[in-house]
Amino acid sequence: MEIGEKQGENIDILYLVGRLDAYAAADVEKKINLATEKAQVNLVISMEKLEYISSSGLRVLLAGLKKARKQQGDIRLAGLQPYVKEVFDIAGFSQLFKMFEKEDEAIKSYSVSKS
Amino acid sequence: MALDKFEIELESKIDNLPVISNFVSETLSNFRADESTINKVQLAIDEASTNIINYAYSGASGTLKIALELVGQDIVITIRDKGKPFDPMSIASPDVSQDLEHRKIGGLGIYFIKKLMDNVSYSFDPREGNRLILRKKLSIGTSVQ
Repeated sequence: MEIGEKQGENIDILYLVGRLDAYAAADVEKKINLATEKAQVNLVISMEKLEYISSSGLRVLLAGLKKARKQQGDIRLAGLQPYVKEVFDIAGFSQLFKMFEKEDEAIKSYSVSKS
Repeated sequence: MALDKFEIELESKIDNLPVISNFVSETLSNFRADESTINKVQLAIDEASTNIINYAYSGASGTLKIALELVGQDIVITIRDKGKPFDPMSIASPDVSQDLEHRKIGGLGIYFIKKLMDNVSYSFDPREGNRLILRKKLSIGTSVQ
């Protein structure tokens, strides 16, 4: 799997490309851990090019979300493909994460919901 | 005549998961399964293999055998390993309706297997090791190759 990164002023973006299985999960975990080291992380994970996710990938995302929310931050997801969305639905993860169709919408959502 | 049984044997390593996945999608395309069926079987086998690698062998080296067979209208998947006895059915399913605070991290792989397959059975034999059999009804895809 390939992982891309972009850092904005207040928002970090991760791009996941390919397959997020147990093999790839460790790399994604490292990136998320690095991002959530910040006092308050506003992270967007772009999944437009993510073809596949297993429970190992979900586990890493959930651990990151728990950590981010505890620090008043968030991890928001964008562009889930239908099959990946289906896996999120079965796992009950669609109700845990804020999800957006487009990366822009996920980015904008942070400025709207700033308290 | 079309072949109706395919088997792969590989080392129990996490790096082999993509190899397993390719084997599954190629074999199921051969069975003319539709995309949704391929995705579901791929995920179930990926989860079962991940458990074998991480728990049955606890990261130690060993072998993993996967057979895909077409029996009537069913895809029958047999996964064998010689690691510690590990019955995936003994793992409790997570409560997927829990909110974030109460949501436990774990148990999802087994939950996917049970949820996505029509039937799951496990047995252990001291000589043969662990054997997990999954069944999934074959849905034929519309695309013709």
